[in-house]
Amino acid sequence: MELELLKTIWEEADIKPFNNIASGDAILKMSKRPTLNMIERMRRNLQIEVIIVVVCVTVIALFYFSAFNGQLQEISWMYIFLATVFLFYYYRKNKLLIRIQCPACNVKSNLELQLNTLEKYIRLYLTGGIILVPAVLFSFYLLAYYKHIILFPFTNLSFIAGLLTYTAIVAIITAVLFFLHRWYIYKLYGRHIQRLKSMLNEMREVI
Amino acid sequence: MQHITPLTTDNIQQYFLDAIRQHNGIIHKVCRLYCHSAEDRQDMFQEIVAQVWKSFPGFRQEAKISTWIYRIALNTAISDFRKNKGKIKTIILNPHEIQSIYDYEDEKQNEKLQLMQQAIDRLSDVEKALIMLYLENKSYEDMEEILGMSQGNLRVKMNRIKEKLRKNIAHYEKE
Repeated sequence: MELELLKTIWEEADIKPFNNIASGDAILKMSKRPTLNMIERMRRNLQIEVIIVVVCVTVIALFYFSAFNGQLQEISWMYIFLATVFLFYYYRKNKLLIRIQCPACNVKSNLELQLNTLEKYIRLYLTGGIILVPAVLFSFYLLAYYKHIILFPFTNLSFIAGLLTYTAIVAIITAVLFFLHRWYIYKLYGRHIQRLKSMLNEMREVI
Repeated sequence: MQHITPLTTDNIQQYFLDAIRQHNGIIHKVCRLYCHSAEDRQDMFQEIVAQVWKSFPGFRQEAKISTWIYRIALNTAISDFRKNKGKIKTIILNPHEIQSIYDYEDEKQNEKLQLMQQAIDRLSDVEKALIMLYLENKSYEDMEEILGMSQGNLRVKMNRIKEKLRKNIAHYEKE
């Protein structure tokens, strides 16, 4: 079979355009369906995360503002502060997701844009996610110190020894979470990134 | 399709419908090339239509609408279209709507068409895009505009793909 014959077969396989009114309605129905491509799903998941954080923090903050005659309202403020940091992190992630694709651009530009933005997104996901772990843990430490809560009740550790022990625990937790986080992120996006890279290499191939 | 009047909120829907009606063949061909099952094709068709609608307000009328639709369709098929169907939410349409939109002629595909499909299936996603534009008689200028690859690179790649395709076809013909 010659390639010219392929063209003929291809042309024969063509379909007639549809042009009735019912089809117009169908097209509009399709056009307004929620797109469930990868980016839209990432944005939707992010929105769900934001809603969960806002709801949980609101409930916890309201509880500590009203419970114990308001004596532990610092906990509420700490949660509000941490939630604000989280929201900034989510805002940055969402901003990257908004500009991650350009469907109307040429294919190569779109792939480059996707790859570059996805790599930035992953860096933010990894670094932001990891910075937040010690930030949260040290906030709790400060709060405990401020409210005279003993963190290691069955030991006779001095302030410095207690702080060092706590720092060591935070470091271990952060390190473990860093590797878990990295593994999870590459499990989520690693294959897609490799696919984008291989397609771009194919398109850039030197003659 | 040439728009003389600018796109406004009042006429955008009509222009969009005209564009899809006029160029649904492009979308269908991309679906045929990248999807194997009728269900996948249906879902990809809807995804591309949704993407065209989302991008429509940004359409520059000086560009050719067909080129623009090729870009969106190929971008959706190549760079994004998910492979797993777990969360697919295909819009349910009436039978007459389905008949007018999707090509359910699969069963009637002749042997040669199936042979061509099999040979093309062995190409990479980028190669599929190139061969599709070749089969559509697109010039290298158009290919460059759609794919973003230099014309020199396109020519070299096209020759390689043609050779690859010849081998694939010969292989299947022997079988």
